[in-house]
Amino acid sequence: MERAFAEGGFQQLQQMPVEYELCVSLHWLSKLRWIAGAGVLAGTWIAQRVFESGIQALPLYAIGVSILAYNLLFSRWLTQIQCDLTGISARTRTLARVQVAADWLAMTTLVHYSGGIESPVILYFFFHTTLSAILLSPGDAYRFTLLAIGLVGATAGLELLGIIPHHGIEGFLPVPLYNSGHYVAGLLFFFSSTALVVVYLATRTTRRLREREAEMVRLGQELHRTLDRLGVLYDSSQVVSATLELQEVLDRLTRSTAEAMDVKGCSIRLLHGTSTELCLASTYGLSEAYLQKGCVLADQNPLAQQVLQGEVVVVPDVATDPRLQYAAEASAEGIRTTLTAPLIGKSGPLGIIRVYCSRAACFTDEDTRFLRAMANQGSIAIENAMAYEAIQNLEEAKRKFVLLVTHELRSPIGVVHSLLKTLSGGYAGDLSDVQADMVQRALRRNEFLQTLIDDLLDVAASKAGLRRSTAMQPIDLAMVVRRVFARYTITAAEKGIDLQLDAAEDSSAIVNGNEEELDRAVANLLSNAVKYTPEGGMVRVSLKCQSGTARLAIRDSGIGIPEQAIPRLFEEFYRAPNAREQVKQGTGLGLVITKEIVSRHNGTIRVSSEVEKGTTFTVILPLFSAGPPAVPVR
Amino acid sequence: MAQKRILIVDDDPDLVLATRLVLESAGYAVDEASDGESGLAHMRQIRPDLVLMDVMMAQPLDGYYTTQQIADDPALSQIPIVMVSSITGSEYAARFPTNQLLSIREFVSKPIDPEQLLEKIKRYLK
Repeated sequence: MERAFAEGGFQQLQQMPVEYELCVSLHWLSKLRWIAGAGVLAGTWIAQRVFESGIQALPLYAIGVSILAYNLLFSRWLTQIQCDLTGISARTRTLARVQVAADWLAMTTLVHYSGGIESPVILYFFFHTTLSAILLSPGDAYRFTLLAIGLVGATAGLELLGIIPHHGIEGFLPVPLYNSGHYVAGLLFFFSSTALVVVYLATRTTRRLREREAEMVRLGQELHRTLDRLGVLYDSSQVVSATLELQEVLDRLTRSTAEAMDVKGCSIRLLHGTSTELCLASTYGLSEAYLQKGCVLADQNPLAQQVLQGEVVVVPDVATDPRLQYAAEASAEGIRTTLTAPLIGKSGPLGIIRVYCSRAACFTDEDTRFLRAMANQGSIAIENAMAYEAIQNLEEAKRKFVLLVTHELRSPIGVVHSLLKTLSGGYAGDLSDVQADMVQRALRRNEFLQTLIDDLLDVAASKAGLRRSTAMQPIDLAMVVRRVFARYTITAAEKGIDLQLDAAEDSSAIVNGNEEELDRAVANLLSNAVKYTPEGGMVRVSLKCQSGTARLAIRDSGIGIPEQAIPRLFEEFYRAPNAREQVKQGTGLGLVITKEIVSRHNGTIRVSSEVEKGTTFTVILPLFSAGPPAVPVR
Repeated sequence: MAQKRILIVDDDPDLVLATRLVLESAGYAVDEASDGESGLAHMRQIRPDLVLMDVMMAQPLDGYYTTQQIADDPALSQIPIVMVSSITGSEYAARFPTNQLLSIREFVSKPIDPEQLLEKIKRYLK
């Protein structure tokens, strides 16, 4: 059936089932004829028993036998014909006609030898005419019916006129009827009219049935195809949406569309930014030479304009259509028709998608709908990819900005440092005490500026989310703590502070994180503790592991933090009033940075304090486990 | 012993001033050039004993490209180069190609400490 479809034409389809049925029916008819033949023989034998010598059995037996005989011939002939759906040869039609004609002759002879117009067998003609109406074309059916009427009429007429002998069945009828002109005429009239009416009704019904059948087949085919296309549409939209890379999306879209629509090629042109240029963004199935074509100006191209306004446009003949800008190249490529659909996103038209076919009259309404559907799906995917690209560009721009600022800010500070160092080193001449002192002060402030910039940029980078992709791996926190601790022993000793580390020599606490950052965080806290503890005080650093977490506590006996300052402790630039008073140097960024680092490591930081008694900072980090990584808190 | 000449190639005049003072007080003769090209020209005219080269000048990586050219010139390739950069430890460092053999003796990062600088120069002038 499919192939019949492909050959095109609804007419052909209309004929197909008929011919297939005809073929099948002929086989069936042949089988039926065996029964008929046998029936004639059996009927004759019974009639002989009933009517004894009143019936001329011999001719009747002969007819029965010949029916069987020619049926044998027919069935031989039929075995050479296979019934399939690809088409029926004229031979089968001929066979059908021949069979019906043979049957007709047999019937007529049977009627003649069983009483002519008196024979009840006449009624079997109706059976035959109905069958012919079902099996043959309406034309043939009528013809054969008329033939039947003619044969019967001829038989009756000739018998009536005495030209041919009458073979009545004695004892069957009380009086012969064959010689009654009135009776013959009347019966013939009713016989003919009935036959014609029957054939008319039968052909009509059959035709309607055929039409319905064909319609159903057609609808079934259409449904199947629509389902197929929906399937393709779904599959390709899955494929297209599976990636966020713009070029990938475009390439997958052109390929899926070309494959789904079974066409030579497909191309996508996108509108460039704010300009009205439509430039090739992706192609499939087209040659390199064709791709050399330049961008098309949308407002100078009426076809593009039409499409961008939302229409799907067919170009039925590329060679002669004036709308096409590159008609010559297209023909050279072997393209005869094109179909173009708009790619329209939420923000407006994105471009156009075009499919190229090498056949003439390639695209149906269904194709138009399908391309539109593909274009709609494609537009969504394209917009998503574009948005993703924009986000990535933004991230990249942020990163570049931070790097640039870092460099630009650090550079002059470095130069100032060099100049001051040169000065203070006496390389530009000896300095008076006052001059030397002033240069020292300037140097210190400059160093502070350096630290401030570093910290600021750290916070800014962190807030801009640029630190997110810092490499995390299993780190031994205990080792980090010991290392940082070692760095502050001298400073603490200089200040007369009793610095103790409360962790076993070989203990370990494996957390998932970044070593540099952890170092920084611990150093910040320890530095604070030492800084804000006056001479003779004490700082305790302890590290414990319990219930899947590592707890780092840094306790000092320093100036403490006033209660009202605690909520603001982790704000940028915030320094508690007593801290500011007691220790001049401080950026106010240390704790912010520490908190950001702890947070990136999925941990928490707590503080408890009492003014002039001391402060305890506690950092809790989850221990590294080999299981699936925790979702980042951010 | 003849006075040693040092060529400073750097586009920052303040830095050049500071460095010049330091070097001259240690007894070196100092020449300066503000970019790679004029630095090369200068080197061909008056051969210095050591070059202090900034990596990033008006043209990014000017210092690096100039060093390549020095390496390619047989007349100049023997002169020791100390590169001064502000880029170590940052993203740009990744861009710096490390697969070439250059006559760079040392990387010094800004800001430069006068004592350290003098010490390094003394080492390479031996």
